[in-house]
Amino acid sequence: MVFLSQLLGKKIYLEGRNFGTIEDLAVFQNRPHPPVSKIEIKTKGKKVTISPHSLSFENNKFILKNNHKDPFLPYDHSDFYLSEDLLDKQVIDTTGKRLVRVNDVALEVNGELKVAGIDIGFAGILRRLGFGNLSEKSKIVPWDEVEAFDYQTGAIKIKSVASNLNAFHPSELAEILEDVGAKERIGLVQALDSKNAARAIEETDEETQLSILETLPVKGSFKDILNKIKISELADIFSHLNTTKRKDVQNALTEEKAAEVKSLSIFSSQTAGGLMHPNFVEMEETQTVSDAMKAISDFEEGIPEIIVLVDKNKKFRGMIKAKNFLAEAPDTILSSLVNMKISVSTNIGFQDILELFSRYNLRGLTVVSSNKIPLGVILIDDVLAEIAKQKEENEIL
Amino acid sequence: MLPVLAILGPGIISGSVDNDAGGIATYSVAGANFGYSLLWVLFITTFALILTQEIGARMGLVTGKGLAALIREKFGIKWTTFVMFILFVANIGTIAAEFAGIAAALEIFNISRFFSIPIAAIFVFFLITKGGFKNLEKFFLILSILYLVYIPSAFLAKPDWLLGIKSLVIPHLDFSKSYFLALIATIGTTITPWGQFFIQDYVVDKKLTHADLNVERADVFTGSFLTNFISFFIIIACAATLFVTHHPITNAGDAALALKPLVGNFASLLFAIGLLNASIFGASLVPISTSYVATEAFGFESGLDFSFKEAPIFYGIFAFLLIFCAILVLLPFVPLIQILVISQAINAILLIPILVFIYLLSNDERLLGKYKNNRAVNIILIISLTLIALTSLVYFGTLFLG
Repeated sequence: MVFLSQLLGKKIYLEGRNFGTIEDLAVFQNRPHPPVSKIEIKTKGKKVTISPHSLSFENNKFILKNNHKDPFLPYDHSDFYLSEDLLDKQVIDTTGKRLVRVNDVALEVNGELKVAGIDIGFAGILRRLGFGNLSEKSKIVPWDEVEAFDYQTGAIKIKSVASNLNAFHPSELAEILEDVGAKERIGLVQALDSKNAARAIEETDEETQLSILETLPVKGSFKDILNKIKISELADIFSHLNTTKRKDVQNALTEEKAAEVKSLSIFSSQTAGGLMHPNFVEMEETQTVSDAMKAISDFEEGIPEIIVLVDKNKKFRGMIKAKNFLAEAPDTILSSLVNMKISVSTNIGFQDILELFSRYNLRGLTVVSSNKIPLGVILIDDVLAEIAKQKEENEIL
Repeated sequence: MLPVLAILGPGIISGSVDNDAGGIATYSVAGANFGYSLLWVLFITTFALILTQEIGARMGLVTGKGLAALIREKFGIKWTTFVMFILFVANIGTIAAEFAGIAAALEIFNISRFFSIPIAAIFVFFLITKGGFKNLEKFFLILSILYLVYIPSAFLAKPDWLLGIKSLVIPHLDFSKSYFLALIATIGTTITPWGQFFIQDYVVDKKLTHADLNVERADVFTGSFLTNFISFFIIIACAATLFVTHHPITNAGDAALALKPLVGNFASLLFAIGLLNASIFGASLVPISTSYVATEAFGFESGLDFSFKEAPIFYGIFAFLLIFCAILVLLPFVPLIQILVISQAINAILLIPILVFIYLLSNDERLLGKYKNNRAVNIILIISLTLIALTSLVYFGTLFLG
């Protein structure tokens, strides 16, 4: 095995005389172990590329064979260069599911020069600083577990063969989205299925959500992704968008969703109004368990944890945990099952909500208007996410 | 909280830290020892500061990457190591200056530095690692409004306004060692390597995008302008009092006399509180941000979310900087005012290579596309760079040739 840093800057000889130095290596993209396709050489202040076959290694020296009439290949910007496009850049380690920086590139020499993996350990840094003899172990990530970005556009350029970004958990993707550069962030969002992209965006902090909505091109997957993001998440950031983006968002959403986002966006994200979801299962208290079961199975956003009960004037009467239905006869009247009669108004602060959840061991809490009409529900997940968010705010940079 | 706090952006914070211990000391010395004759430097550096901070903010907005990451990606690990070394040396100077400021402020109350500095270092360490800083940040910023007292104080001292304004726009040179030290320190306390890394990292951390560019430009402009607006009055106030009475500054108590026209015998108290506040603010921000930048550049675990065990290098650098700089200032043979001024001059000299990298990066079309520098920005940047380099050379000249 040889490292890229050990090849860069090496002298190349032609007929016993110094011809130039190795500047960079281009590889064939998207192969499990991509072979080197071109070698970029700096000679007399100019950069030229040659085929790796024009170079031989004899007596510890790189020799340019002159049996080719025209050894120079055209320089192509769309090639993937190991030093220019990969070294020192951030890539995704698809096994560790995290963002890492490339300290060096490991190459296999086996007749042909092939990329084996990237060195992300401190050993790579020491080697490049000329302290390669220090006994630090290399941390190599195999090449087929790496996804690399294009330096200029940020698009995902080298796709990992073994693993798939869409198989990442949304929270893992969210962490990468928060840490990666601006162009790469968009490149990553665009590389995901719209559903996975939406889940990942929901998991990121508010600043990252805003930056993605501000910079994601409106053409393309914008509309698909946007319609899959939870309305309560969209509403939190909607009022922070600039006016042209707000229009883009409204145009991309279905009419019904756009209206919901707009009506929710007036609440501060730290209050009940800002935390609640506008979609929930609402039943009249005189209905039965079997009616409720049908409503649950018709509910579009997964299985609801709580059912909100109202009277015939649509006013809040109480809440039932969905799992309570399991042991009940289908004709049981819902009003007999109510296990939580507390609701909160939209302006209640997060600390009070947190206290209610912990005091009553709640799975969910209903948010009502001033005349007791249910507006939405806050789920335990939302509370946990908000706690995590507040913890992060202690970070200074 | 005051509504104004809602719009506090990185430009304002960065600008406010510019008037830290080193800043106050340097501007006071400039006014007290050289009257109005350094005002022109302040005038020019205001534009240079706005320019460099705007570039930093713009690069952060467009790339979403900090300055260290951009240097690493474009110039490789060797140059990154070089830059990190420079930043480290410059920031040691800055942090030592903050500790010197703490010591100087408390010496006004006859509190020994052997008592004040260790306590300050421990206080800062726990303030940052226990997560209390975010709560105190606004308090520090509000208290830095104290420096507004220099404005009425300057007016009451009845300065020669005509000469002041003239000196602002007409350059003056005095080829003495001490003049050039004050000149270069004035530049170095205004535009700093630290400030360039900070503004860009802050913008990146807030995930601002090109949609925020104009708001961010306004923020940087306001921050840079306000900090030097106050600096102007510090110099005027000192020039109209200490320079007129031929009272050079040898300690913080001398510098406090510039506030006497306004607050009389409260001058020392007020000055000490202001200096202490600015110094603790700086001593909190600079070491931890150095730690963020260095660990991110080399790919070590970085951030206060990690425990000591998970991110030993992150916390190690932070603790080392606090301890090393505290000891540096405790060394009994170093006068505090000299630490305060010389550290700022070191910052100016170390700024030169950083600005070269900033110039190269901000002109990279592959990186910034249509957001790369326009010609006007480049011209001013190159002029600033040349002037700082020339001043540094002349300063070294005066050092060696006398």
